[in-house]
Amino acid sequence: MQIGYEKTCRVAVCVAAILGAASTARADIATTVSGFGTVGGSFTSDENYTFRHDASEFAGASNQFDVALESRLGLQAKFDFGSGLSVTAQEVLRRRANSDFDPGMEWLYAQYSPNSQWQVRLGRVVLATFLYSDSRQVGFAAPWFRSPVEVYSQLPFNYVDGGQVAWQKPLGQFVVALQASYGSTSGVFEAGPLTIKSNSKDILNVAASVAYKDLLLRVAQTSLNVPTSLPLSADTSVNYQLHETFLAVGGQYDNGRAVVIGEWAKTKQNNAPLLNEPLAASSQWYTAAGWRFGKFLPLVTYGNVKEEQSLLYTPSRFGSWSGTLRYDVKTSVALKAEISRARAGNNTYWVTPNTASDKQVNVYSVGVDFVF
Amino acid sequence: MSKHRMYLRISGAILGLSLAVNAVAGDIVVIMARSAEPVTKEQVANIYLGRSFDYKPLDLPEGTGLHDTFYKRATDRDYSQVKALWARLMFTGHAQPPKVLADAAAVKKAIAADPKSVGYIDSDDLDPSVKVVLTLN
Repeated sequence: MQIGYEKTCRVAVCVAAILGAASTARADIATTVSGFGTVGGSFTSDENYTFRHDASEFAGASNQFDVALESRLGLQAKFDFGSGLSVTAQEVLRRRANSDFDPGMEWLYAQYSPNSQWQVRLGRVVLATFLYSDSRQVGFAAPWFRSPVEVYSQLPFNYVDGGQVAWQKPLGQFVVALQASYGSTSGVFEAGPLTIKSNSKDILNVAASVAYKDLLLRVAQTSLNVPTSLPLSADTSVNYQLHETFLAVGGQYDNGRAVVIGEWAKTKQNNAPLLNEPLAASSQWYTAAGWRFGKFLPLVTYGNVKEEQSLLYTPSRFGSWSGTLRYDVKTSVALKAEISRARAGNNTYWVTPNTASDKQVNVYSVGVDFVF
Repeated sequence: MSKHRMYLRISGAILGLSLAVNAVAGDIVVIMARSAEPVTKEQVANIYLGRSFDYKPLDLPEGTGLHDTFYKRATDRDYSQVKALWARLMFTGHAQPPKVLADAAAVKKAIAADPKSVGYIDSDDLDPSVKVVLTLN
């Protein structure tokens, strides 16, 4: 892990900009600066298998303890101008593609909230594809050390540049919420042997949720178009508009003692022309259950991914088990240890899966999550 | 001051006193502006767990016995769990955590000025400027 001089400067400039703006803010602008982070690391039980969270990370942890894979730092500033107008910025340092502790503006949006029911946002906004997508980086807010990769590796976009409308209203004992987001985003991903430079356009996410006491149910659909170029040989390629949809249904129950979380998601793509198969298509789910003993929360998670016939993958089904122990050291610091066990062929876990092997490989992780 | 208004003030004071009498020393009282209706424990939990945003929750400083006991009684949760819920709301841009005020006097003052505000104080600190909407014991 190495932070170059240039990047250090970029980080320093971003942090200084946020803090500077916060400290010089006029008295009538209510400014809140807060942050979150994780210091931790992972290693695998086998040097041939490298674990990563999703295709936006090109490097992962093998049997050497990798701190840069799991450690991250987020800084958020909210400037409230009154009359329902505010600006929120969030900067996160984490692994992106090949670089570690890479700063990036996760969000930067202006919000108008005329009352407690409506929020309208313009700018770079969060893309909440799955139940925990919107807080995936905030380890302290989650019972696990990392969100289950079977589901959360499916769409490695965290934000879109565009707009978002959110509405929520208590109806008797229920709280109903709707959210729609639209925009575009770009990124570089590794999918199997391909490195895909993606400019995703027309990303539309629609989500509905209903909460009743300690229970929350949510359904969301995300669709996007990506101009794609698939290499057929050294000098020919198929160019087409890849259309992908994600349907996600999830729920969580947390009564203060028991925690139960479950989510199912289906990923669909159109066929690539000439090749008559999608690049990838799958369905995946996980379920997690835990029980609090004072400040300790042990949690067991089972995840499952089913690949359909596609250009990248042959039909297969893989399950994985994870065990997590969370210990709340202080009110804003949690210590976590996690062990995951997955088959060598599971492409949601390993940078280079090996479908020919039946081997089980473990990922060991430990870390501290904090907020400030 | 007209006789009419004087009467209103006095009856208000008596009403406040009678409500205060219902809560015994050591009770935590959830308070709102004088115009508020009583609320249920579920409603208070929803407000302080960030599930409904119809009211503006006010908080007392962390680490005081009253603060931790309030969360235990109102939400059946340790405060570290509540903090994790608010961390999620804050870092997803949905809501800011409850505003922390210095003491009971500051909470009462803020509540008297804003009918949307909710707070909690020790019942010993009650006075007629606010109304008890729920007693937690």
